[in-house]
Formats: sequence, structure tokens, C-alpha cells
Amino acid sequence: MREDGAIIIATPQGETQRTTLQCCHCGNHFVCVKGSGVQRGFCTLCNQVTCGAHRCMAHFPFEKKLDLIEAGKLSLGEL
Amino acid sequence: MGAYAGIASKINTVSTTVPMWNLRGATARRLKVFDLLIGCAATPADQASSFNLRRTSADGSPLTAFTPTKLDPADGASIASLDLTWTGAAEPTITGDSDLLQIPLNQRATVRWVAADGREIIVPAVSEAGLALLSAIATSPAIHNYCVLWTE
Repeated sequence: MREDGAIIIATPQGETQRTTLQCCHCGNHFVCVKGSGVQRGFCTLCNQVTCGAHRCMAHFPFEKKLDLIEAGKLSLGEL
Repeated sequence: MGAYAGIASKINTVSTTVPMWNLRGATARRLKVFDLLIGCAATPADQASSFNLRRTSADGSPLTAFTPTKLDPADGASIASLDLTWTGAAEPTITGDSDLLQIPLNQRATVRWVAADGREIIVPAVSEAGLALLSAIATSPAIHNYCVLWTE
């Protein structure tokens, strides 16, 4: 799976790095931890991961949301 | 497309309404945040903190702001404003359920989040739209330094 970002944490004990994935429906970046029990999703139409939030279950691409908001057809709160 | 930097220093007092900063865009172009750094300037101590990056739909009444610095001096001025303080109770309107990035942190640590090319956190080209960094957890609030980089 392609990485969408990275978090680098520097401490006196050393450096830790984790990759982040981005939800294709809301733009949220999250760290995916195998076995954490947090449910994520996958949109077969976007062919990308979703953050797992209920509002991101339906196919509604983030880019489409941005276009609708900029056209005044969707409120900012819907993003 | 220009790239810009904004910096801030603020005590990470926990609040769901008063952010550490609010990066406010404008109608001319989208803002694309690609880098975020957080570190603590206080005496090192084992204290827990957590920061949330959330969307805002109105900026309230900003009192002080950081003027974005151009990464390339040849670029034009940024359309964005990094608002730092607000008058009275007129803080930015935080969009509920809009967490974009959650960063738990020990006070001894410094964290950097960086987006892959094309996977930035985007602020739509709408008046008053923005991104706010909120302090969600702070076992002992202390002065923290923030640096955010974006393109537009």
C-alpha cells in the first residue's frame, strides 16, 4: 500500500518513524496499526483506503467535496 | 505555486474552542499543508500531550497573526493568515468531527509530520475556511513551538 505521509518523532532515546495513510473521502491522515482493533475501510470505487468513520463509508471523493464547497453547493461544515 | 512557512509559540492549554493557531485561507487558491513540526521549549519533563488538527469554517475576530514567510523570495505574498489570538470569545468555529491529524506527544519529544507529494491536507478556496491545531491533552501545559509549511 502506498504511503501518504510520515510522522517522525525524535526523542532523547532515538528516532521513531511511522507512515500515515490518507482517507480518500475526508482527507484525514492516520497511522494504521495492525492489530489495534480500529476499523478502517476501503473504497472500491476510489481504490483507496478510508479512515473508517461512519460518514466516510459511502463513496464521496474528497476532491468532489472540495469542488462542491468551492461552488457553494455544499457547506464547509460538510467537509 | 508558492510555498510558505508559519510559526507560533503557545502554551498548550487544553481547549476544544481555542486553538494554538488557525491557518486561514481565502477564495483565490487552495492551501495545501505538507509539513508540520511541534516541539516543547520548556524544561524537559515526562508530560503527555496530544494535538488535533481540525477544520474551521469561520475565523472569529483575530487579534494577532503571523505573516507567512515565503520559502522562495521570488514568490508573491501568501493569501493565508496564521491567526494566533482572538478577541474575547470570538474564536474560530471548529468543524465538529473533522480530525485530520492526531499527534500524541511526550514533552521530551519533537514531532514532524510530512505529507507525500499530492497527499497534503487541503483547505478549500473558500473565505474563512481554515485549519486549527487544538490541544486535546496536556498533563502539564507548557510552551510549545509550532511550524507549519504549506503551498498555495
